[in-house]
Amino acid sequence: MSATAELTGADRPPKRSGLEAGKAHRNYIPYLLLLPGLLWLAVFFAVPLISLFSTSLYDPDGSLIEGYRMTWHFANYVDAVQAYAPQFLRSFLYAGVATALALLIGYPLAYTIAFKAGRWKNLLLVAVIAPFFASFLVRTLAWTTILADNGLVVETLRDIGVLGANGRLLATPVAVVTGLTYNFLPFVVLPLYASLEKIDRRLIEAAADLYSSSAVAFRRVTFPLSLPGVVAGTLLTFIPAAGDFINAALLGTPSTYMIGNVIESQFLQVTDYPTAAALSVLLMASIVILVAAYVRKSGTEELV
Amino acid sequence: MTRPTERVERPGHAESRRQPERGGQPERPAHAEPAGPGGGGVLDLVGLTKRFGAFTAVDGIDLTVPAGSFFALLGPSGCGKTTTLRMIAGLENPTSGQILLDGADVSSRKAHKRPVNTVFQNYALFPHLSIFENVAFGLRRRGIKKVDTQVEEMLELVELGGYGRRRPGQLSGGQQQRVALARALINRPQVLLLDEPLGALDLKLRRQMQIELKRIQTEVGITFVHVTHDQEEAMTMADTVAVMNQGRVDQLGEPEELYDNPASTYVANFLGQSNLLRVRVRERSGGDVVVDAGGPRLLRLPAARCVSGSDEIFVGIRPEKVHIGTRSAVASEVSGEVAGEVADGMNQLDGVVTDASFTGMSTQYLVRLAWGQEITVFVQNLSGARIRPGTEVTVSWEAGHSFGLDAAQDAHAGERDQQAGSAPAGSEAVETST
Amino acid sequence: MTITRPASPDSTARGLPAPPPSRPDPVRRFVRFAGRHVVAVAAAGSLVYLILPIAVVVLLSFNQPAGRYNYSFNEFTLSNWLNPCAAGSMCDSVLLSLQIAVLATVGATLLGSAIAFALVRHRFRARSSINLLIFLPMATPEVVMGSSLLTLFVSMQMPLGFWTILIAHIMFTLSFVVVTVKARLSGLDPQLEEAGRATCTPTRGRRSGG
Repeated sequence: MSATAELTGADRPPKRSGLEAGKAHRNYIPYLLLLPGLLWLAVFFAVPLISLFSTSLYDPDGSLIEGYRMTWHFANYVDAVQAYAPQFLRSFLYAGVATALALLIGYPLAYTIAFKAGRWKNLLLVAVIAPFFASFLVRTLAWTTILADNGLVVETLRDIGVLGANGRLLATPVAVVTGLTYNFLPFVVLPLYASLEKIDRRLIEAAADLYSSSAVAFRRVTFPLSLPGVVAGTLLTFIPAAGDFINAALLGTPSTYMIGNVIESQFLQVTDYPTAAALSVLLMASIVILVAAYVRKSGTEELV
Repeated sequence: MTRPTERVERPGHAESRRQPERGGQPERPAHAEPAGPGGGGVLDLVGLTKRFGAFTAVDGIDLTVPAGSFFALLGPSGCGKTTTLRMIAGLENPTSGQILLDGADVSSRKAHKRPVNTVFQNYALFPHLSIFENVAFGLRRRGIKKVDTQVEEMLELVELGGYGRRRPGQLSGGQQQRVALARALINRPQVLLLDEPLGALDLKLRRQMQIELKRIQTEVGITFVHVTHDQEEAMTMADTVAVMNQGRVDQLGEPEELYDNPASTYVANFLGQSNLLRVRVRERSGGDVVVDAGGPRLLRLPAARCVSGSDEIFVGIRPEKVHIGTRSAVASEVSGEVAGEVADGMNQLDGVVTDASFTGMSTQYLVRLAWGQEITVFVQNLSGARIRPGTEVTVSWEAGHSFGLDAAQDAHAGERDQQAGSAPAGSEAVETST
Repeated sequence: MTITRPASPDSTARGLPAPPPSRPDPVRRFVRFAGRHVVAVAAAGSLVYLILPIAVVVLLSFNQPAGRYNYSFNEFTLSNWLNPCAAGSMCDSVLLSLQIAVLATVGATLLGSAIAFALVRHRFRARSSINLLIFLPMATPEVVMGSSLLTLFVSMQMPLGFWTILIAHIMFTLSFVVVTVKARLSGLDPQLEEAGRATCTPTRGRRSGG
């Protein structure tokens, strides 16, 4: 990838125009600073990605034991899409819904912490990161208890008629989306809080002074100014959610499996490396395209 | 049967202003009645009080700001002037008292329903909106669709035509200040509130904007209420100045009047500089008060310029009103050097020069009087001759320039505030008020 | 997989505006209160959603499971807390987790801060491709990164274990460190740096700072 080209830059003798000639002796410093980190990313991110890409073009008839041959077998992609299109679509659907829900649920909380919490602010922030004190697996499994068929939630929903007499939540898309939303909610609340906190209160007063009711002031001033947080939260939720497999595995059934589940099982159980690699490349490519489009549209390039 | 839809029209107000404009009048909406050249609103504050817990920020202010006037609330940080302004704007709820706009009580109305706009201290421009949209903000919120002409006109007024597409961050401090002004003025408020609008500008720009603000105010005729800690700024711009001190209005009047005839030691020291001499009243005869200055001489001042009726008062005199002369020169000038006599409407005292500092335009002398007090004298540098320290001199001033204050006050009240608060000698005090 | 012990000590949810003291009609008063404080009520709901699973985990840590799975509350016991190392390799795993966490944090912070520093304070060509290399790991789902690393380690015949886990964690988090530190550095008031420079002459302010 471009990284290799860049890394050679470190060996190149630094060239600078006359303007900065006086500082020429320090020119190697930035490259020295960049080198270790970029090297790490190159070796453990870029190179594996390239090898993943080449794996995705291997002969699908090979196996881990016999070894694979490079046959530039682009048909792997076609096969993968044909076989796993539903999981793909489901991934993006679930991730999209979870992101939207997380924003919807997280915004009032972030807003309250930033503007209304007063001396409770720090306590509430601790509460927001409280889920991180338990591991991802543990807190996802906790939802199996909460949403259990004989649990309080399901029984209440049955009583009030939202669920049928035998209706259940566990092993449904609702459970998977609930888990996804929950697991990534802090990633929405924290950046939202950070951008809301930064907003100068006088701007809201100025809006009120200029004939805005509090609702209008929110729509015209507070919300637009919190957009960097919205964008960051969206990305921090959508990307991992689209690739997640734990929520679907623990809270769902094969009919709610997402593309992450497929990749995981193709790699670890089926050991069909070419298909798994093709799916991975497809997933990554589609996310990168979506994210790039989103970032460009929202105009907050400084995030990257 | 009464018609339920009939609205009670109160004079002049935001309720009617907030009605979205239908029928596309591009011009100023009909409901913004009083504004336009020569028409601002009358603002009355009645017993206005604000307490924050045990702290009283504003302590029962009563004042009337006439329509179309330029009114300054002057005082040091923490005197309650900004709190007063915020209460008028509706950003703070008064603890008690009333705010009347053209006679209508607006005290309980929310900020967005008051026909009042504010120029905030640090401008509070919306960083995510262009200059055009910043200025158009108030119009749009009131449902006015066609804003282009008005916004362009307003940007022209503040000399920012052509800047509409920029963002606030791309403008200099002075330009941002003018955008803030345009954003408030475009709404033709009954009263425009300015909260230290020039505080963040450097001295030169501040002078320039003072003149500019005054020009704009004259042009639009809206009532301006200007909060500042800079006495010079207040005196330059305002028709009426209210000097605030610890939540109260100490004195209110035209700048000249406040300066020439201060009613308290606080005002005397905060507005410019004053020499205050503690004296005993010997007699009150005719239109004059004759006082005993401790030395051999008597001083005299017009009774109309003495606010205290007690036996002990401060006689005040501004340093630039005092003449200074070497003992012999004055002796020949002033007829008969008889002890106890007040000569020809002049007050005079003997002393010794202890310090003379040249400040360019003038020389500032410190003269120690017989009983040890030092008074300050400013002498314009008309001639080159300067009096050296140690010289025995006589200082004199017209009796009519003196003022008399109650001696029960602190003679130094307001001095520190003035040094900290205002920047008369070119120091660029950028400070926030509370 | 045992989930009997929560990794966290306690985390209690409290501190939300309580409904006003109920005098005439508590229900109606609450409805009116909720109407006036829609946002706060919604926030309280979000908070419950955030805390609920943790509360469940804490609750289940006192559970004596009936069968193999610890999903529903059966019987109160303190045994899980009294014998934290009872369940197989539990304590070893916790120790390993902590080791990895500490080392990954140190590694990623060092590498990432250096990159952020170079990007903010120095101008050089190929910035955009470096930025891309920083950005891509954040836009890549972990399952993809994990699996591609797996193929790398397998093809290099590297034994999977402590070091491969550490390498992966540093790689996952590196970009986030870069972005965060970069935001902080560029948010620093340039005047502050100017002041630092002035007071630290002839040494540059940034040297003494960095």
